[in-house]
Amino acid sequence: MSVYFLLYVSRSLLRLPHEGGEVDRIVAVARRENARLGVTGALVFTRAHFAQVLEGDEDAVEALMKRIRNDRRHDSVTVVCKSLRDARLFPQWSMAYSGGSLYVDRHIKPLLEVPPEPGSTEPLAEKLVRLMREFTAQEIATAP
Amino acid sequence: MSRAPAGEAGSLVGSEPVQARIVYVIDDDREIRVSVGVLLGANGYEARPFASASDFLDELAHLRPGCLIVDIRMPDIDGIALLAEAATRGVSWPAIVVTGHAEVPTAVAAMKLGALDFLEKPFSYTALMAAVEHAFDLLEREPDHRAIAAAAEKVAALSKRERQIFRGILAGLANKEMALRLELSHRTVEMHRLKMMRRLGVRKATDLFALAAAAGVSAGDFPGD
Repeated sequence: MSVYFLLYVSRSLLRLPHEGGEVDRIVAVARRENARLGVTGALVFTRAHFAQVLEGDEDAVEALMKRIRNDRRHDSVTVVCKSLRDARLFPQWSMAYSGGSLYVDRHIKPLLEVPPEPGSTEPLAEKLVRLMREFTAQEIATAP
Repeated sequence: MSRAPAGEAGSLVGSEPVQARIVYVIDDDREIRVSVGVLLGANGYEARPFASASDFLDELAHLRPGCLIVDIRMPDIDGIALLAEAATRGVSWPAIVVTGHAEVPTAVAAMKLGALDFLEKPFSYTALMAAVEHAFDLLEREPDHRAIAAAAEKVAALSKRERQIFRGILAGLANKEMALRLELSHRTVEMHRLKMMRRLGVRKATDLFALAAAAGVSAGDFPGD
């Protein structure tokens, strides 16, 4: 039983603060749709950038990815990695982090560099996914 | 480069900048306090060191908004606990967390408490100064809710007469005119005016305008209620 895993990063085109409500809309729709499609993962928003992990059935994830690419709220959509894994890394789909942290953004920004520094993508991607998992884990741990 | 912080009533109405941007450095390591203090000073910031989280928390109610540089590992109250406590007191100033041991769970805990950045020691001075610059960008763009609430509370605590005089001044009326319209003696109006200014903690009429702006109070109708 293998799970299709995809990580992408992108540049936000939202103008803050007045378009901040869009993020809530993105999350509300994604939560509903992804649950329906059996897609798990996590979204990160750092005001300048987005990063998202999507896991599930390959066709479902790729169809989702197609819609995501056409979304006007971001551009420079860059698929960082995609693979088949033995198990899901995320128990559900959720918003892992939304805020202005420079630390979090430093995990995303370099992945948008064109062309990427040779050999840099994999370790950076691993760090980003590790960070996203930790956000999700702490969210679950502190949930009421 | 030094613009007035957004917390002071005066600065919200674009008056002359009177205070340097202040950075609170909270670290039990004296060398860090000193070296970071020197770096900040050289870049035009005012540095205020604290040797412990509790020292900072004790004074917090009297401090003006600024940027925090907080060490994670401190005896007694650590950096994470400090951020959590500050948050419960309604203080959400930008915080740069520094640590000798950068671990993801700690970084995430700090970020969830709203920390702006997380830097591992020995950190590059450039990275630190970039974060501090960013911190003041945020501080000066966003309204300081605590200051606004404090100003609004002060105005709400005025007596009816004092509030009328307050509105009269905002409307540009002289004492004589207010006296006429309120059917009070000139002397009575002056007395209320003095009391009102003292209660609001302002010394000049211009400060009144600044306070009104901070509290979100417009002249409205005189005398009003």
